[in-house]
Amino acid sequence: MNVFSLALANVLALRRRLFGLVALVSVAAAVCLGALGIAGRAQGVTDTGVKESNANRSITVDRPADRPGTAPLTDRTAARLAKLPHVESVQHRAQVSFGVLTDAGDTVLLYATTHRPALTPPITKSVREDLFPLRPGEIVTPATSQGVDLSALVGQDVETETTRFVRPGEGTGVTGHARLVGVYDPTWQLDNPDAAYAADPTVIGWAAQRSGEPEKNYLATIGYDQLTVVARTAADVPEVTEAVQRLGYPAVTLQQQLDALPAVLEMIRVVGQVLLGVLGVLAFVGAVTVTGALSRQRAQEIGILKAVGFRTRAVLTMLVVEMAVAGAVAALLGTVLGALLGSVAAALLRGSADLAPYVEGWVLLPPPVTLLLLLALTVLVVAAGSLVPARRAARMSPTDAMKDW
Amino acid sequence: MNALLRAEGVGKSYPLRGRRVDVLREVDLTVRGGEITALVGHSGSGKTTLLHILGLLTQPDSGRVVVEGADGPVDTSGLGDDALAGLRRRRLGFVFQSYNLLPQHSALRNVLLPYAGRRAEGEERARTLLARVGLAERADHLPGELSGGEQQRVALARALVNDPPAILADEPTGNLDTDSEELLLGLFRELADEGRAVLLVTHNPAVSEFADVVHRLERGALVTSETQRKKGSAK
Ligand SMILES: Nc1ncnc2c1ncn2[C@@H]1O[C@H](COP(=O)(O)OP(=O)(O)O)[C@@H](O)[C@H]1O
Ligand SMILES: [Mg+2]
Repeated sequence: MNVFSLALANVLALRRRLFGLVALVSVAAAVCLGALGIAGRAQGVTDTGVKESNANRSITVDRPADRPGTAPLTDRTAARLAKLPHVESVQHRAQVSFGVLTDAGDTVLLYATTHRPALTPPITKSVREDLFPLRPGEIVTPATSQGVDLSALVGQDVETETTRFVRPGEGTGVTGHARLVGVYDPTWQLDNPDAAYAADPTVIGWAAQRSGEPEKNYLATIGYDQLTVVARTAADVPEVTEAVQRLGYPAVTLQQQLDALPAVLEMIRVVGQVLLGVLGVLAFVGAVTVTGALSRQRAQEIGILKAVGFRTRAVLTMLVVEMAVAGAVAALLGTVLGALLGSVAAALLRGSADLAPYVEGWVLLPPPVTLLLLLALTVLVVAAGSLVPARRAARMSPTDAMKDW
Repeated sequence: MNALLRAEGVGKSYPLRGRRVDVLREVDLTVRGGEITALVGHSGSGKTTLLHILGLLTQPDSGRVVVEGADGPVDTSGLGDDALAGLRRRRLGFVFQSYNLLPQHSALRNVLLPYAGRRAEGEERARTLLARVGLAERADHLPGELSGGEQQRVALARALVNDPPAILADEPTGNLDTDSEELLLGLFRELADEGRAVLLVTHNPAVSEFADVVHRLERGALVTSETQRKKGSAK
């Protein structure tokens, strides 16, 4: 009889005795897969949403505040930076503080900010599909800020308070109106935690009003508060950064700022990786123990097989294949359980505003390649664990194995 | 008939409390096709040891065993484990006192276990053999669901699955009632009549009387006699 079909028949017949191993390995695999699935998906969201975007190629240039010889971040400066080698584009940002007054009487202090196409915030609720470019009088705020849920106000006109210059160090409040057309995930903090995006003329207008400078001169004299230089490729970023710095401007890259996942997801990933190690050890030790115990119980059987002409190698193959099949069953069960576990965890995480944008989809499993690799690895580890005890059993002489003849 | 299994000058000793005890000394034994050969002797006289040596399950300390291979006699001394396993599988059939079926598998699968040919033919052959030992209806039963006599007949069918020229049986009726014993002995007789060599280890006089040749092991040596039956049929 074929060794493989015999091994399969044995697994079926001995399934009760293999149950413990299968349960152990499948639960470990499930937890591991669930954790890796969530973390992997979150990583994927970050990768596609941020890393492959312009952000990874962006260099932030701030005002040369304490350098008198260096020109402010005017349109001319922007044009100059745009001519540096390996620069794809230069985008500007102006920012000025203002307040939003809610019906409940709260004042939320925000920063009116111009939108840069290279760095679009993750919108979670909006009145229309393509929010940007914004029209004058429209604002986009964080979903929550300073404890106030602003997402409830989407689509409404809100009262705003801006500042008018009176004399240096003194201003007076001016009330106005803006339409809240969308909110974004508050974990997006590239433009400060309380950035509220508005159309360029709106922001420049408010900023000029606050500075006392005529609006038409503002960009030529005071200029933007930040420029974003986008390099052609991510590899050009260091060189471009240096070039900008040589011109006397403080410049930092966004790469560092974007590297970190939210802490919880990072922790889940670490847990997943630790569990992967634990799974490996569990599967291995489990296979060693179960194979050892089973082959002691089945010494008689092994002796019979050898007596009727099975070679040592055939018996070894049979025992290892049995364990590999058990490992495969465990891995498949683990995948199903892992998918369930991942979905439950995803549903829980989706309840958290900070994490929701990273948890896409309902059934979270690692990508197919990783999944297959994990499954193969589980089978391999279980089979490897069975090897030594199986070899010991298979090499017994038939008469020794069947002592009670 | 021709010699299908032969022990030549076989010696075997086991260590016992620091000294070696000779179980077999210079034993010569020939098992011929077409005959039932019985091996008798009191308990501990070395019958099982000799059967295991003839069955290539144990290596002798001295002497050699010659087995009838597919292309004539094969001297098995110096053969590796795999070659010995191959000879056991194809050229020898074993029946044990305690049946030694795999408890988790059906009668059919137990019979099929050593089968060396193609799967589709194997199943048909296994069913034919089960029918031959009167168990056609019990092919799908587990050993635990069969009586001792039935299990032993499954074991006999298993021994025959590769059509070996020699059958070795160690106390095959030791655990059986007289009816089952008679049934089994009848089957052994059929096998001998087909030209196979049948070697029965027994301490049961009823079994040895049934044999054509009886060898008695005494203090490690063989004393041989032909039975009444053999003398009668030779005339
Ligand atoms: N593997 C072994 N190790 C040590 N002594 C053994 C072994 N096998 C058999 N013997 C001894 O050899 C003698 C013959 O045993 P055995 O061949 O089983 O006799 P029988 O089958 O005639 O009862 C006994 O004294 C037994 O204790
Ligand atoms: Mg014995």
